[in-house]
Amino acid sequence: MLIAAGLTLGLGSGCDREPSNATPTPHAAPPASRQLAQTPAALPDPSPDDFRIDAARRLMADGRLDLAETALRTVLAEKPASDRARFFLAVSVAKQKRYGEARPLYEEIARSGRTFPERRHVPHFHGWALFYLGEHDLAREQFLLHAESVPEEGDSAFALGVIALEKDDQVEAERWLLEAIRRQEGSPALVREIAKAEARLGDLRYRQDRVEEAVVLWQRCVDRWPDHHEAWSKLARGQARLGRETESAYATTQWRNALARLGREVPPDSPGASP
Amino acid sequence: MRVAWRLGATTSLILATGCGEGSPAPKPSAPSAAAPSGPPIRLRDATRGSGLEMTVTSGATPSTRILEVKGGGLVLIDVDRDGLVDLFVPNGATLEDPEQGPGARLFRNEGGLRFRDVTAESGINHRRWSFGGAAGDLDGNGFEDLVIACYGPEVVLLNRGDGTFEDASARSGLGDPGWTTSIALGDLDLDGDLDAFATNYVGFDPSKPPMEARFKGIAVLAGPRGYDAAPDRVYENLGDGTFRDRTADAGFAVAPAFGLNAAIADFSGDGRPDVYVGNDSQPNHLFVQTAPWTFEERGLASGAAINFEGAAQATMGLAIADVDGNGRPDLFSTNFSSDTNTLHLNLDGRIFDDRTAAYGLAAPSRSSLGWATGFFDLDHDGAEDLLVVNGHVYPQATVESMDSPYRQRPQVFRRAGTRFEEELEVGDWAREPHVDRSAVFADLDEDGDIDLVISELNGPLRLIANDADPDPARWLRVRLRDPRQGISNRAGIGAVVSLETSRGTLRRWLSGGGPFQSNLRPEAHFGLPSGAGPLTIEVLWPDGLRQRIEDVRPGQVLEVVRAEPAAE
Repeated sequence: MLIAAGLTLGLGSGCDREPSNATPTPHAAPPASRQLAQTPAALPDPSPDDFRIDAARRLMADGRLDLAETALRTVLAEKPASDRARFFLAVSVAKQKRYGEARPLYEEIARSGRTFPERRHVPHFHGWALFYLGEHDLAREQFLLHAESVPEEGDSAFALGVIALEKDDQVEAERWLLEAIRRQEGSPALVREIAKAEARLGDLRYRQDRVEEAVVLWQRCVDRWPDHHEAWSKLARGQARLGRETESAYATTQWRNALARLGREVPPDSPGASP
Repeated sequence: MRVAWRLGATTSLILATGCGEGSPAPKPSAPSAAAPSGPPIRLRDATRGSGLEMTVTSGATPSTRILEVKGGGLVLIDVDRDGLVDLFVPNGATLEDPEQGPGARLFRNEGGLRFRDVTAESGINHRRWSFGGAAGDLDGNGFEDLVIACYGPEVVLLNRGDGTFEDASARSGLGDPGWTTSIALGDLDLDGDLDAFATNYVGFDPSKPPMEARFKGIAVLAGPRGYDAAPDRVYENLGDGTFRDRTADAGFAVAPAFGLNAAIADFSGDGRPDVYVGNDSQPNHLFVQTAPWTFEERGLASGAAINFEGAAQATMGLAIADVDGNGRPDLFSTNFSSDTNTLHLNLDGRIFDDRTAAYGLAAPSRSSLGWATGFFDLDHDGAEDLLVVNGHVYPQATVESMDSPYRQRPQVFRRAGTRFEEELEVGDWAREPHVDRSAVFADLDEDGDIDLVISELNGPLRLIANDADPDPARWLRVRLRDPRQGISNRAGIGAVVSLETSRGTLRRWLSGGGPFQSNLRPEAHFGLPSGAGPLTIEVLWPDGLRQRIEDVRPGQVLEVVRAEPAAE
């Protein structure tokens, strides 16, 4: 898992970075992915152990993304061939939601062939940048590449499930999300990752008008991770749809509480906001 | 197909076949989606030589203050009741003198996509910085008047019926001194005249120094946060074109939000008009009317205020259509970049669900910042397509820095089965990036298809002509006329027009509000799939009267004149 690999970067509860271990389908790797996969990664990174890179990682974990970015740009200015610095720079930029800036950094790393410890995870982060730029087909290629090349990792299965949901490919969405859950079960460190996958599976069930099942999944999600405000919101919606006004109102309150705990803006209450 | 034939006359039908009172009870019908493949969508830029040569003013370029980024609106109006849709452009001004801009313009439609500037002869001399607007007969004299949303008090221009307008602002009862972005007209109390909903944005003082803001780490002009949200206003028409503020006693006095747009329609399905308000960066509002002049804000309760992830968005454009074919008005909203536009399906009048991704509309909108939007059957295949105009607010925006460029292409989404698919080859004009804001949709050349006019920030108007299949069997336009004494909402704003075909029922809401800082014509346009079979129109008038017209001939502008039920 990327968490195990030390790539927990203080992300919020968005859908960035989730586990995967799904077995890619035989047709999974399209030409571009294969091209990347075949890129010779023989050249070593010139300074994988630059202490400033690890310092920047700690800054990122603390949420000080701008400082991390500055530090990594300094390293890169001195060592332009440092793909490790470039990778973490890309991640820090992406965490500031500047995906268009991160994308060419990932692409440059993919082209260079230089090795560094985290290189195998580049497609995963590259995939999220592409996803948020609306390039779902290209993102899918990257996630599949990651799932192929790092079979012990599960983080991209969730991403593939999310993309399948966006494409309304319900069969594939279910397959990847279930796989994401399966691969992460039993690991206490991954409870949030499991919760996210369950929430998305709930989304799928809701779309299939299997509202009762969706509610169960969203409830399971917030039981695991009470700060998952999106799941609370969905739970409120699902309960309302089932006519359970009391339960819906409770979930709405918990949604507001979760937003407040996370320092997010809590929407003003209004007379009609009863759920 | 430019005027391959000219519709010589509209057809008036005074036949009422099967009328009935009562609240609407839409029954589910087959989705209005057409087959995945159909005729192409063909749109072309017809601005040159059209007479619509005008550059809209909205502050300076590049924009430095929030007042400069919303752009100018557009208003469709039939000034002289000749059936041709004219165009009013409220126009903006500059920060140096918001009261004295270059002035509004009125363009008379002379047919054949030719317009003539008749501002001077109309007597309109409006120079206040303006945004959206609306047209409708406010005073009951049978001619459409204008209400203009301004930075400063709203302006009411009453149509004398002779091609000239009288500035009746002072006695109108409108006149919120703040910044109004959009005006929506609708008969909220079903008394036969048009009430007004004014969407207000922020309290803005150009003399105060600009605030600092950052977007994706880059210093940018300040958005609404940091300003005080301005409360929206709702006004009751007293029947003569003067208004009374009903905001407080009608239930609209909720916590103010950064309002940009509004739509008036019966979303709950109980027969009473409701109001949906698109807010910037805050949850949208859904004011459901539960009794005359009694509204409850149910945005969050209904799910219509936020997206599926529970996030408030920055709603600009609004469009209404029955996307899932369940007979209820669904809501589509355009939003900021690095976010998706949002399709809220109206499940039962009580619950709205964000199904954007399922309909294929999420991914294509992430890099765009959307403004005006509309559902129209652009290719006459029987299914409503979707058009969105785009453009960023930050002049320094690039894909690299903000994931989204300043100038952006408009997007046309063709309805294909249960999804919408972006059509990239709809004409050269659609490949050109612009900083678009407003748009209006209507059959401007009377050839049966929907054309549009787009307003760009500090740029020229663009007239986009539709070259859809001219086969008369492939389209139908329906107008309403209520001839009753004392009714000024003669055009039936608020009505629902249903077209029953052998392939399902298509519905159109003659809603108040518009695509963005603009309005809609009170008219239903239908594209027809091949083999549509016998056509029957059912009109659900705003007061609940149902009127059916059987064996309707396609390829015409059908005027349905309200007829009361025959005495038993």
